[in-house]
Amino acid sequence: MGKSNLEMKTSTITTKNKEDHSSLKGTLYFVLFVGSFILVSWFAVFFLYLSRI
Amino acid sequence: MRQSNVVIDYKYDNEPDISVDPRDGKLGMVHIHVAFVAFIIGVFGGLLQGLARGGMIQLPTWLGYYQILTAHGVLLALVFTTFIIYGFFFAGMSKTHGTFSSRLRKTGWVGFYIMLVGTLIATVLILLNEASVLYTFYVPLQGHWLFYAALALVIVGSWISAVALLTHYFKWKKANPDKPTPLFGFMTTATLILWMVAGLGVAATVLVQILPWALGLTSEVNVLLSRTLFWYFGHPLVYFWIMPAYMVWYLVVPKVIGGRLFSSSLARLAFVLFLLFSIPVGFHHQLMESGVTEFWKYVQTILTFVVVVPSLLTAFSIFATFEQTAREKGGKGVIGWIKTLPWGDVRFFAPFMGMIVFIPAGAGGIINASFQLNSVVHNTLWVVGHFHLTVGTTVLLTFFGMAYWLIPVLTGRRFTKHANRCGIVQTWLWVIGMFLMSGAMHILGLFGAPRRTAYATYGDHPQALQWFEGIFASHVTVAIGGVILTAAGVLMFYNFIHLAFLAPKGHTEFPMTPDPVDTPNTPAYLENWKLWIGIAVVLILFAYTIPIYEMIVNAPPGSPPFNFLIK
Amino acid sequence: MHLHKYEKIWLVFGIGSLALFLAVLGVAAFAFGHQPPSHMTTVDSQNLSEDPLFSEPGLTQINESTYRATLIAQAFGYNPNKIEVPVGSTVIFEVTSADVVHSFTIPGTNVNFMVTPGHVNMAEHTFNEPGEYLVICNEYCGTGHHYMQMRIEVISQ
Repeated sequence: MGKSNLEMKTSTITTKNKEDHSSLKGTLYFVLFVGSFILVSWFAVFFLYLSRI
Repeated sequence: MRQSNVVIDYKYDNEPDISVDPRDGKLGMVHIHVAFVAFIIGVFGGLLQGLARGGMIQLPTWLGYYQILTAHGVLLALVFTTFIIYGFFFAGMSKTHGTFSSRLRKTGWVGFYIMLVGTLIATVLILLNEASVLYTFYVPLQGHWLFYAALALVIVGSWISAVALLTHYFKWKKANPDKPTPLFGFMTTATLILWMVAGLGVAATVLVQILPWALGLTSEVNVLLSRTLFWYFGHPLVYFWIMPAYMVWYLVVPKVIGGRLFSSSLARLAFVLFLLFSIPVGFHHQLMESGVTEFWKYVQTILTFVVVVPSLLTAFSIFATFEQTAREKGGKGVIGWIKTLPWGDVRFFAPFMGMIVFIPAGAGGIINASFQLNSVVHNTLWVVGHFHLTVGTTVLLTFFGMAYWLIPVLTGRRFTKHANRCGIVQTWLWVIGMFLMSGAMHILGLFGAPRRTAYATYGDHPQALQWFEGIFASHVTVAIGGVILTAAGVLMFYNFIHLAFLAPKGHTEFPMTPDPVDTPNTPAYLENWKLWIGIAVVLILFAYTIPIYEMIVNAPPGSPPFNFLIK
Repeated sequence: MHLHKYEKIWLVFGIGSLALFLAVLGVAAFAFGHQPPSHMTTVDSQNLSEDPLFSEPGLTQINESTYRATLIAQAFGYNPNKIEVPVGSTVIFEVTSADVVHSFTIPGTNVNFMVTPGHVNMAEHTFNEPGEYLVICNEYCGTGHHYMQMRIEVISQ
């Protein structure tokens, strides 16, 4: 049982390491930030347009 | 879930660093000399404009505001960009596709000299105040006919050089039928095809409409048609600037940070999309104009939005390349890996700041193209702020970041620590100056302050006075930003002189990422140029045929020349 | 062509936003009539004095609260260079050029359109606040471009 526990632990660590190794989480957050910035600024000008009608 | 192309092998650094053949290097370098001479004159033009517009100085009577404005626009937006791009292309094509044959190199020199002669004539006429029509022409304002002929020479010269570069690429393809084309050649080809197809519009209006009219051979000109042909060229022109900057992002920056590009197919796809969709979109510069129906304006608005997609792809690809490389180097955390990037290396830092600036620049661009929303910003300082972010910062900082290694590569000198330090300072100054100038311009534009306009308080109307009195949003902030930018421009010119003439002789690496591992699996259709040119032509015909036909058959009586208004 | 899962998320988000913008703009324009100024009438810019519409530029009242302002832009001013309307009026601007390209722009409003010689361009605006409104040309038209302006006097009743 001890052995299998150890095995499990090792394998989790490897997976974790590996995930971190090739993860693109930072990229996802970055592009989502870019997208939100575009949405917010576009609607800001759109409402400025509406307010000037 | 592991990417197929994630493998990063640091052995690449041991690859023999093929340098550029000195004869090709010389051809590349002359382009860069012209670019930086034009740059420094253009920078001082910008300074005078900023100070004069802010009411801080009064221009001498022999120097007109609109004359300087013309010089600033032509020298920076046309001359600096075109020459440095061709310098980059000749150097890069020589490195990635081998030395040019002496015949093609000669063709390149012919193209260079024709562009140079055109540039010199145009500059002289601007300085003589014979051509204060701004670089967008403004027919029926009329400059000296030689000015138009000179600009036609610049375009024709650039076509001749393009033929030299494209022939070099197709010769390589023929000699290496089984190998995938290096990305550099693929991207250069896409950019040059775009340039040639787009140039047809400006060539048509200059050669068929404006020159005969300026020479007095015809008495009238169709104003709307001329504007439409200009903007058919005017928007792909901005992609002619941005695509080489993207080439630095895709092909050079990954190498500088010690990694490799994320995906070859996606990079190629992005460039094909630019080629297809950046031309049939010129009406988004004419949204507020009569004589074009709402329907065709909306069609081109949709096409404009499609050309945003390759930039979305690029944002992901480039940032993913950063993240993968940083993680390979031991970077940790969701965002903490960013610390491992080489912040002290200007070859990375300058283009990186350009990328960051492209976020507000791109968002602003989408707003500009948004059909009726354009009335909020059209011809206001917002637009000037916008393109000082896009071409003036994103593209220029990327080209500066490129110049730091390209100049010493071509002159056989070393990229010194001193040059790197000056480069970091230069980048910060440029970003800070642009933040003040462009930031203030954007807000002033929303308040209605006009672009291309000398100092004016409109009879001290409160609304116009407000443009001088804001804490941040003021012409004064614009001028302060302009002063900082001038300092940054002078420093950049010093960097150019240092690297071109003063730095010690030695070896500098040409940083070029090896093609991504998925390169051999790149779908062959991506390189089917006949197909892409065909689709591009179909899209252009679709977007332009009916509106241009209507402009011609329903044309009002044409306009006579108005040359007295510009002196 | 292999796309990373996150890249798919990003493209759906990005392209979705662009489609949303186009839908909002399209509905505002084609369903609610907030179109960009795209008038198709042409005139002979060198013979405006013989044009039925522009031989006598000025303000005409259409109904109780609606006016038509027929204006000629010309380097470096507008004819007439001042109009007066009561507060709450809607003014339909109809503008053409007698020489080069100009604009007709009321800063702080959505009235901001190009005036190309040979063409007539139009926009309308309701003036709900009294005051002296500034009109400027924001398209480069020559050495005196920055002097080109007129006024709209909106009078409270």
